[in-house]
Amino acid sequence: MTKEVFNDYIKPFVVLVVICLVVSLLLAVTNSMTSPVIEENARLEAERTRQEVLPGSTTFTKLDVDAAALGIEEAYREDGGLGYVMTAGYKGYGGNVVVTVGLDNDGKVVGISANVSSETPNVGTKAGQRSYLDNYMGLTGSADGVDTITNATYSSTALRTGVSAVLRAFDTVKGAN
Amino acid sequence: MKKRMKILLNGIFKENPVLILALGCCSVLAVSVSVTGGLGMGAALTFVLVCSNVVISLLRNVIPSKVRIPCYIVVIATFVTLVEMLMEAYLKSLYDSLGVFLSLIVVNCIVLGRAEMFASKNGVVDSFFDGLGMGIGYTMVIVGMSVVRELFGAGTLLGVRIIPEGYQLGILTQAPGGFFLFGCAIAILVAAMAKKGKKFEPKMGCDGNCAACGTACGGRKEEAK
Repeated sequence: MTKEVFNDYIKPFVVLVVICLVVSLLLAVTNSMTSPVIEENARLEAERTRQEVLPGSTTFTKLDVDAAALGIEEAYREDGGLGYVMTAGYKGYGGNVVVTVGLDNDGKVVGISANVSSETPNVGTKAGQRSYLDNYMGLTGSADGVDTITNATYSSTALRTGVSAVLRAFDTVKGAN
Repeated sequence: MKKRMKILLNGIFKENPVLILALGCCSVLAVSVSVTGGLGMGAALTFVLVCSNVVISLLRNVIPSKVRIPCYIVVIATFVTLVEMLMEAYLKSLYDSLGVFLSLIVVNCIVLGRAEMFASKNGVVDSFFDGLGMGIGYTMVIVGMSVVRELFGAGTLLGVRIIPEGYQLGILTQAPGGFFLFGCAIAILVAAMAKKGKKFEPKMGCDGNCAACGTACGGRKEEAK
């Protein structure tokens, strides 16, 4: 093997591989340090959202339901018997619009919060504004009566589909343990 | 030391990456709607720029020119991912407000541009100051624009209400307002430089002007083949 072959073909390959290996190691170390913090943050955030949508609530127990069949993501019962909190995510324009809905024991919407961070700023994110979310307050059974937002159709439809799924799932969730 | 100072100031005024070289405009226009976002984005980009400049400068004699772009991208992507993970863990609200633009620093032309134009040809300390200067130049523009956009567009500053509701120029928070302001910022800088008697000569990199450049292609002999 001549020196030229080595410099032209072997060296670039070796250098790139070595660089990639070194940075992978570096990233793996950082990831192992930060991922527990990130997960803990996400868990706290989810808990805060649950407390927010069900006024007066403190702690929750996750219910064992067939979430996929119900079209929702997670279902929780408030430990003090105040009601239920469910989350559902449906595809909006940029990603999933995740809605967290608080329901009292009769299945009435008492609080709602939406994560629209993947939607277009100032356009799709209108679906997550309090003034729009308030349209869902007090609903039971179905959310079909709420209008979607003109020019934020994808985002608001995803949100409404999520609320509808939660309302439909209420009876099943209430019967579950 | 004087030379270092010159490199630093070069990035801030004479070769300001955003206003003169017109690089990285995408993130400036998108993130400059809030001062907090502008500061965070500026800090993140400066960190990535300084780190990648230093590492690429250290490796400049090891990296074969055939694979230099993949190597730069790997180095830059590493630092961006580091910033992303640390920010998500410890500065969650800033992470949320920067959104996708944080990851997009990987393909920010300022970082790759400085790696190719400066760090791959200069020493470690010079590259450090170049990265710092470019980062400060970027941060100044994005923060300056976000102050105007947030104050007059949303009536707040760092989230605190200054101008009462109902007296805002809503268009400033939208894309057209961003472009308009961007144009004004360029005009102001050029006018200021013209006043100081400095001739304004925008350069697109080396402009292919090999006669004026003593170093550029020294290490790239195999490309000429």
